[in-house]
This record gives sequence, structure tokens and C-alpha cells, in this order.
Amino acid sequence: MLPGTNSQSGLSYPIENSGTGAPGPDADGALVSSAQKGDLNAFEALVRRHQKKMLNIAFRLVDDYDDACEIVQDAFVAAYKNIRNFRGESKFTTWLTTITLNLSKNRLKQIRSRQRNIAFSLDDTVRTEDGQVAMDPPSKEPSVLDSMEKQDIRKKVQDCIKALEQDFREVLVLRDMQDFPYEDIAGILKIRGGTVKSRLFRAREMVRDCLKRVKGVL
Amino acid sequence: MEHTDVRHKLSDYIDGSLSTGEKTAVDEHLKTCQQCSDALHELQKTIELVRTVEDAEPPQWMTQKIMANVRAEAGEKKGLFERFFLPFSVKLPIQAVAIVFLAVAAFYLYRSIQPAPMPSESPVKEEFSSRKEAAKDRLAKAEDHAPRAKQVPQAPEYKALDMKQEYEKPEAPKLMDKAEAPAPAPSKAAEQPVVAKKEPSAGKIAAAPQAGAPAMMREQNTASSESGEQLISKRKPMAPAEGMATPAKRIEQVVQERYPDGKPKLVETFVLLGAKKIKFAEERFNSDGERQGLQKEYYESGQVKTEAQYDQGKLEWYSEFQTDGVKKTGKSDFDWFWMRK
Repeated sequence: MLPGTNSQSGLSYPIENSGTGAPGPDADGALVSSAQKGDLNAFEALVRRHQKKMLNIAFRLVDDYDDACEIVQDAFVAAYKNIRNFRGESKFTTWLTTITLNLSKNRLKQIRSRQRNIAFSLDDTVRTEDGQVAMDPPSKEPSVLDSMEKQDIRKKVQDCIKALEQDFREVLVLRDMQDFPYEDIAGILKIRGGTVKSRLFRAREMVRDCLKRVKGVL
Repeated sequence: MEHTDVRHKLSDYIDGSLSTGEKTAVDEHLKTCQQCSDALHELQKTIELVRTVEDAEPPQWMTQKIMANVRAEAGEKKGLFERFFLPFSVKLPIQAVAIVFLAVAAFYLYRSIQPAPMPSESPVKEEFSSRKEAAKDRLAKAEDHAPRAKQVPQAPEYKALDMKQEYEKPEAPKLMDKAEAPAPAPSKAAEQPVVAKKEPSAGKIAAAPQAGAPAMMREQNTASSESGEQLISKRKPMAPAEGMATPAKRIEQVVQERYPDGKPKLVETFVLLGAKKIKFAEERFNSDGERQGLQKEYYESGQVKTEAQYDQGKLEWYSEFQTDGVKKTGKSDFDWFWMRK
């Protein structure tokens, strides 16, 4: 279970703290124009509304929860700094996602350069003295068999998504996990719509092939 | 439609982003092709599995932390811009008052550092008049201390007799013409000597040609004695009333003889005590402005006080006569120095 819970806002602004249901552009527009005039309460409403979505985008890209939290914080601060420059030509979510995505890419570069300098990682596969791969100890949480199976499937799906190259992962996350339309994805990634479709197709096939290799999933 | 074409369109087919014609063609192919139908099902299952992945929940502190950072950012912005200019309704009157205050302060500061209006008299005259005033007081004191002067023979402090005179190149005196000067009154014997010890300022004036002072200053000193008196009267209007008992004293230099080129040859200095004019000194110069011949200094009674013989600015001998008739002579600066000791 991932950390964090939904928080309740005591503000008068309507808060939609949902990761899947994107708020309407009109509601964002009013909050954005208030925030552009210096209304911090309006900006806080935007934070509450979009932080979960941004966190999940960052989390699926960098695959580290703490890093993703830092990325989201930085993304909102950057958004506040530049909110006067936001002219509403695109949706606020798209603009904010672009910031989050760019920060995630920067963090990935840092992580990769860091990993090159580390001889081994704690996440690496542990090998026993006779060279066999040590199995993870079974979870001590009491759980139903079905739940364990589902968790196992989710873990494998996540591993398959994680195994994607960055360009394909970005498209898959934005489309299949965050439900962005093609044109928004094209705007966020600054690529053409056809490229979005072809990348998405390739990403889905790669995940499918990955899941087919995993026994019992497909 | 080929299998490969259909499978490339399955992703868009699931998303519903195919055109109507493309969708119809894919539907037709899927009815007859089991492999492509299986591929479609696998892809749909894959997308479903991807979508089953749970969303991570943001930590509870995230909103607060983001807003703390945002408020810090907003505070910095305010510090740079808004703190100085907003709210305008408050800052504008304060700034206006500050500007007015600064303007008034600057005006008064400017007034205070501005130089005081220049007096009509030149600083030289003022200095001279003050010296003159001091000289007069000292002359009066000298009269009071005349008995002491009798007891202690005074070395001739006349500048002409100073040791340094041999090393200073004296300038030719430029003094007022005889015609301009008041007619010298005949010397009258006084009961007391005028000056037992000559005043420095008076001596400086009398020995102006020897002192090497700038010519302009000397002219002012000599020619403006009267204006100096006027200045004293202006600056101290009560002075004449207070000093009614003692008549006003002035020193006046008169060129009695001139060389053909106009340079002074014989200069006489007088002390004017009210209507009384007493000869004070006789000075002779050569055409180069050096002392030449006999130099004399008188008591107020008219009695000769000092005689000194010069040759081209160099002292040859001198004699000093005291009021009791004692005469002391010397032949050199050494003698004079010894006598003084």
C-alpha cells in the first residue's frame, strides 16, 4: 500500500483531489486567474486538485516515491513562479504536467549518473553462496489469497512498465494511467499526434509481451 | 486488410481514434481472423492491467509543504517589489511626505553651507585693520610702559637691523606719493617716547620694503590705513566713544625722494596721533631696492633713537641712543646680537 491519504480542504474553493477525474478547464481557469493576482488560497486549491495526478506521473517516471514527492513540490513552486506567464493557451493541467515531466526527466538523469557511480544497489538481486538467486521472503501481512494474487499481478505490471524505455513509458503513463487525450500528450511531449499513436502502440505491445512472459498473467 | 495493418491499428481501435472507414475495415477483419481477435483481446487485457495499477497517494504534509515553499517565494517577491510599492494607497502619502521632508532638509542644508555674503572690504584690509587696531592698543600700552623701556635698552628691532636682512633680497618699496600723503607736521617734542619697543605690525609696515611681502599687500597696507580706520569704525561703532580719551593713531609712510624710474629713494614713516604727526623713521634705498645709506629711527620726542649705515643692503654700523644720552654702537650683526643678549 502506498503512503498518503486524501486530505480534506477547509477552503471555500471547490477541491477535486482526484488522480483520475481531471477537473474542468473552467474551474481551473478561475483559480488560475485568481492565483495570477496573488491569491494564495486559489493556488492552494490548485495544488490540492492536481498534486495527486502530478505525483503519480512523477512516481511512474522516476519510480521512487520520495523523489516523486520532491519533484511535485518543485513543480508547484515553479508553477507559482511562472503562473503570470501562463496565458491559458493550453489547459493548466497540461502546463503543469509539462513542468512535472521536465523535472522528472532531470531527476532521472541525476539518478542514472548516480547509479553509474555506485558499484551495487540495495535493490539489486541478492545471490546466495551457491550462486542461486535468493527469493524474497514472503510477506508477513495476513492477506487473502486473491488479494495476494492481485498484488502480485500489479507488481508484475509495474515491473513491465518500469522496464519500458523512457519515451514509451511517458506516453503509456500519460495515456493509459492518467487518461490524457492524444493532443494533450502531443503538447506535453512536444511531439506530433502520429508519433504519440505509434509510441503508444509500441509501448502497449512491449508491456503485453512482457506480461506474456510472466507466467499466468496473460 | 493484412494482419500487420490490423494489428498496427488495434491500439487506436481500442482508443476509438480510428476513422469510421478504418474501424469498419478492422471490424470486418476481426470477424474472420481469430489471431487478430486474440491479439486485440491481449492488448485490451494489457491496458486493463495497466489501469489497475493503483495510484500513489500524496503524503498528508505535501500540500502544506508546497504552500510553505510557495509562501516563501511570494514573500521574497513581496520583499523585492510589493513591499516598496504596495499597497499604493499607503505608500504614496508616506513617500510624498518623505520627499517633501528631504527637499526642505536639502534646502536648509544648502543655505547653511553656502558662504556668507562677502564683506565690502577685502580680507587683507580686514586683517590689516585688526592688526592696526592691535598695534594701536600696543602703542598705548607702550606709552604706559615707557619708564620700563628706559631701564631696559631695547635692541633695534627695526626690520632693517635684523640679522636676516643680509640674506633677504628686499624689494623696492611702492609707496604713496608725497602729494597724496598728508603734509608732514613738524615734529613736536613729547614728554614720553612714543615707542620704546616697536610693534611687530607697525615695524612690519614700516619695514615693508625690506620684509619681502607682496607688493600689492604692501600697497594696501600703506594706502589703506584710512580705510582701515573706517573699517574699524564700521565694525565697532562704539569704539570711538570708548576711545575718546586717546586720540586715534595711524602710521603713514611718505616717499620723500624718488629715483628717476619712480622707485623710492627716501621713505619717511610718521605716527599720526590725532592732529599730531611724529616722524618715526627714515629709510633710504638704492635703485635696486636695497638699503643704502643712513637709516634713522626716532623717539616720539623727536630724538634720534637709532642710526644705521647700510651699503647695498648690508649693515656697516649702527648706533643706538637712549633717552638718557647713553650711546651704544656696534659694527656688525654679531655686535648687535651680543648687545641684545
